[in-house]
Amino acid sequence: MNRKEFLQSLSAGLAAGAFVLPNKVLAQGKTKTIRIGFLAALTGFASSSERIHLQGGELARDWINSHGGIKIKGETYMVELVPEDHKSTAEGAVSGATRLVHDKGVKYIAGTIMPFTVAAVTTVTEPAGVLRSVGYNAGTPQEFSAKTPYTFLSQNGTIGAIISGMRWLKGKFPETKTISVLIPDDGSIQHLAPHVRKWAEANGMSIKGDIVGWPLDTVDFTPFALKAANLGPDAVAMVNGWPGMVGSVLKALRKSGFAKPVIGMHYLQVEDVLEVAGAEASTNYYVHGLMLNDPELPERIKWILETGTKKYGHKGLAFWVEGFDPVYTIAQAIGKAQSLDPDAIRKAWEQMDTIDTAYGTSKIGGRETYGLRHAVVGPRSIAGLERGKPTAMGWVRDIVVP
Amino acid sequence: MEPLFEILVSAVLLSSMYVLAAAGFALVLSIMNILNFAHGAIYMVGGFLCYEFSVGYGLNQWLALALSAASMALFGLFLERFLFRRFYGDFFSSVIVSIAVIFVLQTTINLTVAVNVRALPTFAPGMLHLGSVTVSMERLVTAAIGVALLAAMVVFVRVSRTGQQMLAVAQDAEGAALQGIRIHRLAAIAMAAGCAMAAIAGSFMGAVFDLNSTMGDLILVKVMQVVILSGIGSLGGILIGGLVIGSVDSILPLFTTPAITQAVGVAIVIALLLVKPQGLFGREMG
Amino acid sequence: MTNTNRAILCVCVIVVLVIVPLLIESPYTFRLFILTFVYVTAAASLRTLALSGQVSMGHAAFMSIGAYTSALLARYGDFSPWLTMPMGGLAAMIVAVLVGFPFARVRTIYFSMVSLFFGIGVLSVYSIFGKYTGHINGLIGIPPLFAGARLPYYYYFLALMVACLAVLWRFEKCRIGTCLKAINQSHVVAASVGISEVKFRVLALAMSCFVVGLVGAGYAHYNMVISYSAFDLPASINLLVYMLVGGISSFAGPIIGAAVLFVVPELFRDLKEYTPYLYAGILLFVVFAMPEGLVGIPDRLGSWLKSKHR
Repeated sequence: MNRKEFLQSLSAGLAAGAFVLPNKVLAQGKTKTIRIGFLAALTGFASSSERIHLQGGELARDWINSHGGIKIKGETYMVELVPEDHKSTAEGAVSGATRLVHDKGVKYIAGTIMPFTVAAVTTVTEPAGVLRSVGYNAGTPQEFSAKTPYTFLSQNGTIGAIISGMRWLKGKFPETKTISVLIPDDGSIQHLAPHVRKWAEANGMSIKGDIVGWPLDTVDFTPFALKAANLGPDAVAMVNGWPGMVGSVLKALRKSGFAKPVIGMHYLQVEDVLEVAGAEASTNYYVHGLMLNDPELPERIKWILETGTKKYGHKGLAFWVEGFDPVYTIAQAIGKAQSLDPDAIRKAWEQMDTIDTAYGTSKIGGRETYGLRHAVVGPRSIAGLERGKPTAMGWVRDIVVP
Repeated sequence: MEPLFEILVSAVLLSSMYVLAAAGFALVLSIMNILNFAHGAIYMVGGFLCYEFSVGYGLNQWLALALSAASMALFGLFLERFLFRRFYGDFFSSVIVSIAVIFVLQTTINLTVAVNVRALPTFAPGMLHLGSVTVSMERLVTAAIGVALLAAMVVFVRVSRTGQQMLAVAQDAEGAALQGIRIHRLAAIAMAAGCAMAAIAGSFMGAVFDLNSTMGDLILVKVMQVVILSGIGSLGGILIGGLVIGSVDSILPLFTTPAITQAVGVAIVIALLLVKPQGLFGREMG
Repeated sequence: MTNTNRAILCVCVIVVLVIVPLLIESPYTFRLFILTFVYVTAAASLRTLALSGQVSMGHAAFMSIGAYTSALLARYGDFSPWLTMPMGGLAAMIVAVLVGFPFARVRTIYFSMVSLFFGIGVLSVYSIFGKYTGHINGLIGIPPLFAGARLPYYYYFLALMVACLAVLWRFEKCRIGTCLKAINQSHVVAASVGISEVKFRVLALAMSCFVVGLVGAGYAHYNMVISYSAFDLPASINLLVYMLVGGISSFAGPIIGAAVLFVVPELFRDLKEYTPYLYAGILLFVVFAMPEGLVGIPDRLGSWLKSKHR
C-alpha cells in the first residue's frame, strides 16, 4: 500500500469512527428500558377481546416512548412491553404470572381483566412485591382489597360505574323510583349487591325485588330479561356483561313491551350493542361507553383511535383503552416515584392526588370501598342508543369513589 | 306474572331452535355412529361465514346463508374423506380428531374474524301478534326452519333410496356393505348434510342471539342433551328431546336460580341414561 | 420390555426426577414439573377406570371434588391441609361409590355421556353454593401446603405421583385389574364366571376417584386459587386426550401422553396465540401416524434404528 492509499483508508476509517463513536455514546444513553409485563388471554375463550387489550398496551408503550419515555433522575427509559398468555384459566394465570415475575424478572405487570384471573395473579405478585395495574374490577374482595397492597386499579371498574351510573340515571330520568338489576351469576352478586343498593338509595331510588342473576353460559337471555321486566320497575340496570348478552337482553326487553330506560353500569361500545340488538330495539338505552364520533373525545383517546385503526385495522376502541390505561398509569407512577423499586412506586402512587389516564385527569380514591386508596377514577362518557342511533349523552366528570 | 301462554310459546320457540342446532349432529351420530364434537365449532364457523358473505361482501343474506351452508358442506366432505373415514368405528380416534378440528377452527376464527362484536342482521324483521302474545318474526322463522329441516331429514331418510341405505348402514354396517351399499358415499352425504345444517343453525342463531367464537361450545352441550334424551338412532325424536331441554331452559329461570336450572337439565339427562340408555326413542348402539 | 428392564427404567427416571430440582433455577420450570406430576397422576387414574371399558368424560369433576372439599375445609374450618387433603380424596371416593352403583351398568358411549353430564352437574352444584365456593370468580385464600418454598412442593408431588402410580399399577396387575379387563372384553362372559360387573366397576371407580381427588386436593393447596376453569368439560376432555394420545392399551400411555401434551404447549408459550395449532397438529399426527399412541415411540425408534443398521 502506498502513502496515498494509506491516507485514504485512514481518513475513511476516521470518518467511519466519527459516525460510530457518537452513536455508541448516544446509544448507551438510549438503551435503558423498563420492562412492563402484560398478562392477557392470547388463547382460550377470552382471547378474542383480550388480544385487543394487548394491542392497547402496545399503543400505550408507543405513546409513552414517542413522548420521551420515562425520565428518572436524568436518565431516559423506554418502555418495553413483555406480553404473556394466561390462557383464560386460573392455572394459566398463575403460570403466566410466575414466568413473568420469577423467570423474566418483571417488576410491574399490567392486566388482567376477569376476576378469577386477577385473583390468581395476586397469589404470585403480592408475595413477590410486584406492582400491578389491573384493567378491571368486578367488586369481589379477592381481586382487590386491603390485602393486595401492590395492586392498583387503573379503571373505574364496576363499582365506579355503579356510582356514576346511578347518579346519571337520576339526573336524566328524575321520575325513576325503582330499578331492577341484572348481574352475572358468577360469584360477584353477593359483593356487588350492597354497592348497588347503597348508591341507588344515595340517589333517592331503590332496587325492586331481588337481583336477577344470569349464568355466563346462557344461550337465550330472554327469561332473565323477562324476569327483570316483570318486577315492574321504572328502569332496568345491567351491571357487567358483554355486547352479545346486553344486546340480547335489550332486544328481549323491547320485544316484551318494556319501553322504559335501560342503563348499563359498566363499559361498552354502544355501536356493538346496536349491532346485536338491531335498530328497532335499540332505543332508550344508555351505557358508559365511548362513542367513535363523540365530539368531546379526549385527545389521548382520539390518538388511540387513529393510531390503533391504522396499526391494527379495526376499531376496538373500548378494549384498546382498557389495555392502554394499566400501562400508562404504571409509567406515570414510576415517573412520580423517580425510582424503579416497586415499593417506592407504590408509596408514591398512593400519595398522588391525581393521575392522567386516556380519559383525562383522574382522581385516586377507594379507601372506603375497597380498603385501600388504590383506585384510579376518571371521567366517563355516557353513550346512548336512541331510535336505533348511537347518541353522545355527554360526560360525567366528577366521579368520586370513596 | 307472565301469562302461561307466553311462557309456553317462548319454550316452544327455544326448543325448535335447539332442534335446528341438533339436527345435523343427530344425523351424523345416527348414521355414522360418530360423535362429532366439532359440530359446535362448525355451527359457529357457519354463522361467521354467513356474516362475512352478507355484511362483509354485501350479498343478500339468504344467498349468504346458502353459500355458508354449501361451504360447510364441502368442509364436511373434506372431514369425512380425510379425517373420519379412516377411523370409522374407532370411537377414540374420532374423538381426538374432532378435538383437533375444534382447536383449529376456534383459533382461526379468533385470530381473524372474531375481533369485533358481531351479530347477523335479522333474517325476518318485525313482530307477529298471536292474540295476546307478541312473537318476534325471526324467532318464529328460525323455529319453523328447525322443524322443517327435521321433517325434511326424516322424510328423506324414510322415503328415498339413499335414506334407506343409510338406515341399513346404521343398523348393521358390515351387513350393509356385503349388500353392496357404498358406505363411504353415504357417510360423505351424511357428513355434508350435517355440516350444512350446522351452518344454517349457526347463521340463524347468530341473528337471533349473537356471534362469538365460543358459541359452539355452549350449543354442543345443549345439542348433546337433546340428542341423548331422544336417543341415538332417532331423528324425529329430537323434537321431543328439544322440547324437554328447551322448556327447562326457558321456564325454570323464571322461577329459580340459573344454577339450579342447569342442574335440573343435567339431572334429567343422567336419570334417563341410567334408566333407558337408548333414550326415549333410540336404538341400542353397538 | 421385561419386568426387570421396566423396573430399572422406573428407578432411573425417579432418580433423575429427584436430582432435577437441585439443578434448575427457574420457578416457572418448577411449576411445569409439578403440574406435570399432577396431570400424569390424574390421567393414569383415568386409565384405571377405562380398564373395564368405562371411558369417562367427566374425570376433572372428581378432581374438583377433592380440590373443593379440601380447600373449603381448610379455608373455612381452619384445618391443616395435611388433614383436609386425604378428606378430599375420601370425598371424591364417596361420591364415586354413590354414583358408581347406578353408573356401573351403563356401558361404552353411554357411560361417556353420563360422565360428561355428571361433570357439568358437579360444577352447577358448586354454583348453587356459590356463596362459599366462590363460583366462577374462584376460591382464593386457600392455605398453602408449604409456606413459600418451592422445593418441598416438588418433592411432595413427586412422591405423591410415584406412590399413586405404584398403587394403580398394582391395582391393574392384581386380580381386580384382570377382572376389569375381562369385563371389558365381554361382561356377559365375565358374569358367567362369577365376576360381578357392578362390584368391580364400583371398585375401579372408587380407586380411580380417590387418587384423582387426592391429587386434586394437593393441586388446590399448590395453586392457591381454584375456579371452574381447571375442572370443566375442556379440562376433562384434556385428561381424556392425554390418555388416548398416550396410548390406551398400556399403563405408560397416559403417563407419556400427559407429560408430552401438557409440557409442549407450555414450552412453546412464545408461539402465543398460535399454540393451539401446534397442539392440534400433535393430536392429528399421533392419530394418523401412531395408532398405538405416543407410547409406541420407543418401539418405533428401535425398529427404525435396527433397519438402519442392516
